[in-house]
Amino acid sequence: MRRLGLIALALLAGCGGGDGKASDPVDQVSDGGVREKVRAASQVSAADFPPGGGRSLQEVADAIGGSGPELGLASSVFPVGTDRLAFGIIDDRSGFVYGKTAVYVAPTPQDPAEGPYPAPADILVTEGRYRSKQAATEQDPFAAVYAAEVPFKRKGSYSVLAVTSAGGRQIAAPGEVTVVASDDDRVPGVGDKAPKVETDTVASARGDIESIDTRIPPTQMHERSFADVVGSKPVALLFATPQLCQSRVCGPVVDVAQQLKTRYGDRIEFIHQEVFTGNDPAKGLREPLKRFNLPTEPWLFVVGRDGRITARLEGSFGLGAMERALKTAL
Amino acid sequence: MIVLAHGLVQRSSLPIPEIFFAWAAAIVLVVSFLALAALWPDPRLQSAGWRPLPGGVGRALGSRPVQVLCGAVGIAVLVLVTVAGYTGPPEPLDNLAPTFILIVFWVGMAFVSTLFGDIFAAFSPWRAIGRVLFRRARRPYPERLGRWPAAAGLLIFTWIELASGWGEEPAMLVTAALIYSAVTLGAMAVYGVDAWHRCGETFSVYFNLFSRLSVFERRDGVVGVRPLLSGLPRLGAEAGTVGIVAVMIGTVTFDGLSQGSLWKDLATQLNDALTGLGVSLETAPAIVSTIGLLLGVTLVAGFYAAGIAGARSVGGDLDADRLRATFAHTLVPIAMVYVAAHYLTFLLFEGQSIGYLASDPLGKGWDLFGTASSAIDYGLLSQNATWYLQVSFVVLGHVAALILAHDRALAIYGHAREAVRSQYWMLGIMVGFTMLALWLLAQAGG
Repeated sequence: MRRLGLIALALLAGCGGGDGKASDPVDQVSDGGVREKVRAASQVSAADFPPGGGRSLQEVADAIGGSGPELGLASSVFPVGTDRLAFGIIDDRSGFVYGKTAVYVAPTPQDPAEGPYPAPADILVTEGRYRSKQAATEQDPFAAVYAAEVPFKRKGSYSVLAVTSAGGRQIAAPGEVTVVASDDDRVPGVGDKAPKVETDTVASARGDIESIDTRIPPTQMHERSFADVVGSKPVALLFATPQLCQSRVCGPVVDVAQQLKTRYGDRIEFIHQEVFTGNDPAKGLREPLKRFNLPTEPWLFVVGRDGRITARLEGSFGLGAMERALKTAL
Repeated sequence: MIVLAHGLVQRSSLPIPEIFFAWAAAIVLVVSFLALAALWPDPRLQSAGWRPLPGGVGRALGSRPVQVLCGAVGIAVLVLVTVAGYTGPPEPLDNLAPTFILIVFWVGMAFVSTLFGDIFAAFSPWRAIGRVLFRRARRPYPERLGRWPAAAGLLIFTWIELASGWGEEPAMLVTAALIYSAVTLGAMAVYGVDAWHRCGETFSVYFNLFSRLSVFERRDGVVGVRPLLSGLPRLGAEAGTVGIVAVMIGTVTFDGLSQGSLWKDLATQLNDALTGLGVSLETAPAIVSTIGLLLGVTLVAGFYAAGIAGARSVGGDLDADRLRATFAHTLVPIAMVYVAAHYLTFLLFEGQSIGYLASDPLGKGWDLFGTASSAIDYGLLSQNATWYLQVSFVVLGHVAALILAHDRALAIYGHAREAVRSQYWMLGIMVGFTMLALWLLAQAGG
């Protein structure tokens, strides 16, 4: 009865309602213990972790003591400068470890540890209506991905130590990344003019949307070609292949874009570009990816009204990272 | 331009190849045909009985207040969907209007009508409004029009959905719905509500045809039951009946065909040819799909005409026109199983989105039914189970068509032997439609 009253009131209210979309994406994570862990993991500061204090990375790892989980990197291109380091921490049963997380880095384990750099959990789970069949039928989906902003001061190898608070203790997962000189990063970056590429559209695919979108159901981000829009309106250009992505964390990025399109679609043109020619990895990359020199997928480029890139995201990203990226063009 | 794929049929591995299912289905039809010839010597469905639901239930369900209430609900839903289409989110997947019109109404009501009878007659907003506004017809409904207006309306609706390129854009869709409402009410004002509802209003005619498969029927204000399939032989032989059934089957045929590689390859060539002639990239697919849609309808009508021509060669004094009209009702179960088989996953999976859309119909962030955050459960039916269901639908529907044709033949031919001979051709039609249906499903899901 109370529900009926609410319905009547809401309908009477007519168009006066506000935008009541879920404000906290953590609420989109299914309950059962995970949601609260993810909520805690999404609110983290450097103060939650011991400072490097001049200790070597190895000494920091030894002091933390806990080990066992693996670091699963979810981004791979790191030019010199401050980069987004995306990753997951995977336990011995291939499950995601959720908790407050930070990373320390150093050129080698014996060098002084830099950090901690907080790595808040970024939610990958979209609202139910934006979940693709691929995401909805994933047996053990990851609810979030960690991402830290890490300043890499020189090119070369870096040791990485990700530390997570889980089960009342801290555990550490080591890894390694390669940082390249800025000049060696051939992917267009922030401030660069975006290559004016013709992306696949429903029209160019002669109405065969499945040939240009492996998501089920297909997205509605194929109405206009990037070349036709860029320079006249902000654009979010997403290179991704939901069906053929190589990891468990890259698929949801298209769902993430689909959800955010509802909030920003009137101000930003959202364009999805599939990755492989004929949706067959054996046939190589589609032309727009070649023009952007993309060595991996997925990638998001947010391009301002002037045609210059205002943000780029590589690898897995969630709702928080993408929304921040979109705002750079507004 | 927005194009969404219909259904999500992608099978993993079947225990036997799909072609074997087609052969098995054909064998079932031949065996059914032989069984009918041997065991069904007299017509049984032509004037079958009807009895009201017991305990006053039939009288209550068919009563005037219930009809008025249902009509009011229909009007409210039409208003809500229209408002949602114009003021709701512009994204088709976020807007109530496309999902309601194209899935819940268009596909869901076909299933509901088949199971529970002519429910739409009660909920039709146009009939409800017409009954209030128009007391009597200004002129009699022209007999020659028959069901042709409904057939034309159906072709236009399916064109909007499958070929226009804007069939899922909320504002465009509800604008089309409003134009259709205006035309319908205008026609009701001229020809009377009941006459236009019975012959001219596309959706009333469409769902009424399916409702004749149901055991439930409302007569004289009372809901009752009748023998299975006995509603179809009572279908009047108005002009355009074959036309609307051909549109029903032909448009689904095209929708299925358009998801397979055969049509996609052909469509690519046609598109290239059109763009080479200067047609824009946006317009060419619509033209190609329109050609496909018309080809699908023509193919089905031609197939039926060929079967009728064959049946005529058997003898008797029945001309082709009469035979065509006499057996038109036998195509209705085929139309239904084409819809059921082709749109089953569309309804079961995409149809679930009505759960969250109904809870927030105008996209205001409401959660009226507590389902706003629900998601589509893709595990509802496995891919192989879907295939088995589809094959079952196809076989059952065609067996039903054979029964109807056999029963009608017994009634119109003087001799049982002649009636059976005439049905060799009908058997050919049914086997052909069965193979076509399974091939289309294989195309879509392969």
